[in-house]
Amino acid sequence: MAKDISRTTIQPTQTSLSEESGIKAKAKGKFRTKEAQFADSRVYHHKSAKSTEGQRLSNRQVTPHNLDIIVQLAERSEWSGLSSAIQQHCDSLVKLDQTLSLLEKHSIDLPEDAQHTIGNHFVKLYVLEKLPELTKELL
Amino acid sequence: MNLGKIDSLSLIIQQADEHDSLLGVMSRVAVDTFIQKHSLTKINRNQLVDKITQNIHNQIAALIYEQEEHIKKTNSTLEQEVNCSRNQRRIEQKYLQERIKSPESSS
Repeated sequence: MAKDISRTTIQPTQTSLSEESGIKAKAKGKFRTKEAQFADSRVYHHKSAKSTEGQRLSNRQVTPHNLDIIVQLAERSEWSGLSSAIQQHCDSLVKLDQTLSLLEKHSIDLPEDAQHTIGNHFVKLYVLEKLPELTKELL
Repeated sequence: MNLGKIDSLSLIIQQADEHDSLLGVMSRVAVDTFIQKHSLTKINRNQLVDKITQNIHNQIAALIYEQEEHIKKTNSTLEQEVNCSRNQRRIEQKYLQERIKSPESSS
């Protein structure tokens, strides 16, 4: 299965790599290396990715670009901008969780206003996600 | 939608202001977990709990209302029962709104 995937998706570049590194490494080594590189690019280049795997990953997470923006705003103490960015880019509880965890890693201490905005945003997301669960079997 | 399902929806939002109601417990656990995980110490925890409870209560009440209207049209004998349960929900909704407006809301 894995070999079949490599033949169908990575073949053009794999041929040139195998020529550089020799015959022994051609099958195993090249396949694993190439797969790792390809997996990384699929996560971060979701719009140009041919595979759907990258798109699913990007849909589940805030993009690194947007995370960078949020961290930069926090480090510059632009709290109003930070709150707006969080509201815009965190449209699910998972994304909100991810973003707040990242801010904690950067030792960002959020002021009261920002925390209130984030709290209200949490309420909105929680209701959006919880209500369908509660009424799933009843509608 | 039948009466059984309307009853089930009503159970979800029943006595939402009570400490051990389904909505109350669910909201408190969610908010407490969120606040503790991210150390958001300046948030008014009780207010968030009340907002979630009120929001879900309002939306489910609206769903029930629509279904009750449909049932009233098809079965006029249930009109009084429907009106009673609506009055009860209105009282609960008003109470939840007052809790959010009060300066020191507590759950």
